[in-house]
Amino acid sequence: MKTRLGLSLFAAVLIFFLCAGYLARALSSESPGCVKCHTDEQILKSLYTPPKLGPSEGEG
Amino acid sequence: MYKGFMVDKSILGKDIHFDEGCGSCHGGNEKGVTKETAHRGLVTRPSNQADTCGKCHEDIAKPFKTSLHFTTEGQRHGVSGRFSHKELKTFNEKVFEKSCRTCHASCGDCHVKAPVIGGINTGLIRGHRFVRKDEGKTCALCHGGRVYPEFTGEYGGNADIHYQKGMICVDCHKKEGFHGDGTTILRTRKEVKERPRCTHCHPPGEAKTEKAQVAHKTHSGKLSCYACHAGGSYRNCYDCHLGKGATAKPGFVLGLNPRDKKTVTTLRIIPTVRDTFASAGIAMEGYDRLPNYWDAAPHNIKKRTERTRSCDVCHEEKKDFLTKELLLKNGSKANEGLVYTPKSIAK
Repeated sequence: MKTRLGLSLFAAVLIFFLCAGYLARALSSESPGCVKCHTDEQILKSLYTPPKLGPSEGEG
Repeated sequence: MYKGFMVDKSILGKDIHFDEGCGSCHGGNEKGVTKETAHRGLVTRPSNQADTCGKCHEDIAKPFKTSLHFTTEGQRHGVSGRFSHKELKTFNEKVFEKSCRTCHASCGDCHVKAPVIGGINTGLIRGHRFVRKDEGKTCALCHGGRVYPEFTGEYGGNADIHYQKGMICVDCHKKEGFHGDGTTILRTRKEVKERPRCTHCHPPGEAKTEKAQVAHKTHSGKLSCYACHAGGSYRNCYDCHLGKGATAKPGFVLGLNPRDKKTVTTLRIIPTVRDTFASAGIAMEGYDRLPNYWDAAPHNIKKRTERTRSCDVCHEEKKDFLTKELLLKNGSKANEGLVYTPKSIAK
């Protein structure tokens, strides 16, 4: 009985650490905000605002 | 266009420039979850401060601060001769820093992202790669009003012979010239020691035909190469008003070079008119000190033109030479000093 309880506890702890490790890895591989948007065409397209054009001051 | 802001993901782990993250150059907030929060504190043009690149490229970034591309000193020098001392002060405060200076080239304008012209640009040159040169996306945007379309033939006529042979801007305009030498703040491109000269590749006396050799010898020191070898009309800008821009028309004008008053060369209209800076409260007290025509280097060179074929075009027809009748109306009094009439030659 004591052994089974120990095993279950060990399995639970193991699963917890595996999940935590996986989650941490998944989060660390997630690109930072700038890379995420500036490398994804769909996201960038949805965020893009065309510039407002003023008068041009010359022709170089 | 959003595509101009697309970064090529494949370069991120390979190029050392990205090792310290976007924020090391661009600032901003990498943890921001919306566009607004992520862009808070964003530095859109990090190389506006040349020291950003100078951390690693000090040998280039430091002298670049003295280059005309960075200082835009040429724009001030071009008009300052028309100002009184007081007007120059007003110009520096109200016009130069707020208008002319905003047009300066940063390292990134040539090596990362096309420069902004009139509020628009074509964006990152190659997905944020750091490129050595890509003239169609860099030089051509700032110099695309006059010389570049002349060079490629897009302004009418034939493309420049050098363009047809496959040459690009930097084949003549060496980086030593436009990166600056780090010692002198130049006022004009004419002061650039390494500026290109036709004779660098075409030494005098090496023309293939006798006719060309005679023509070169006869006109040596009296005529610029452009006067005979400019292939046709080039762009002239007129009637510039601060904040409103200028209008352009094709033209071809021959007259005395305002810099030495003795060499005949191609002249280009300077768009500055008497009330160009009126909105800034500058009347240009010395407007008549400088002419409205300046020596030009049309980038539409041809080996054979009507001038190289026949002496009569200049010496009998006097074609395209500036005369008193052709001078701009209400132009500068200094224009009269550029009028030149070639002598007829004995047959």
